[in-house]
Amino acid sequence: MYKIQVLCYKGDMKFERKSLEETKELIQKIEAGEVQGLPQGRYFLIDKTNKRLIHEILPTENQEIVMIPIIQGG
Amino acid sequence: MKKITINNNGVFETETWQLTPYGIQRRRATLQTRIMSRRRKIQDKQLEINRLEKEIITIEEQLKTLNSPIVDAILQKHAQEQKEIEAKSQEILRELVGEELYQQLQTRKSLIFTAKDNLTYKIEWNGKIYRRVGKEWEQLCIVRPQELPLPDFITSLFFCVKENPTNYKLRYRR
Repeated sequence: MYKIQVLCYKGDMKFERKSLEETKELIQKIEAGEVQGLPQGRYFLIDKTNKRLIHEILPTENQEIVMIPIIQGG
Repeated sequence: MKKITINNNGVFETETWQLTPYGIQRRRATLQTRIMSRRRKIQDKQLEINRLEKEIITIEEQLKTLNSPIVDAILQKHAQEQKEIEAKSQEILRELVGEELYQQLQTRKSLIFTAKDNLTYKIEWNGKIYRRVGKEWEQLCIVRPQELPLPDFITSLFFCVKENPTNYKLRYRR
């Protein structure tokens, strides 16, 4: 089970996906602005367990991911 | 014919004219026109007063609706939601930056960390971020997304600057 938490204006939004493919698809949709309530944009993926940046989601069971919107520099 | 008058208030010169029959008719016409003009002005003002009174009635109705208990309940619900969002955001911030940095932010109102470029950064409680340049803290130029709660913004800023510090420039460039 993949648990995805996205930081947004509501504080956060939580999703659960069973497979790696479904998780990747959800992340793509979020970044494309296709998920209601979430702004289009790029996000950092953080592993909630070790607080490290994830560059690629691994097929690990029970992974908790936090998606953090990337802040733009002026 | 001029006449000089002296009294306790001073010295006055007054002049009087005799009105000719033509002059009397002209003066009557002028006075009638003045009366008409002032009556028209009163009418216009009255229309304006009536319009403003109608507006006040509409505004009062709107205010009455907004002061209703249903709206109060909506506001209370919103305030409660905001409180919950704030609490959740604080919890995520605490969880992701770690207890030590979170406590630092609570007590010193800023958290200090080293990013991938080996430079030191400071995020203040209000979301302002600084880079250590020599002995000075120089502010970075950041675009804050309005919709993001402040603790979430600090969380994002922490990870963004830590991972990609070169993406962020100084606000006042040398």
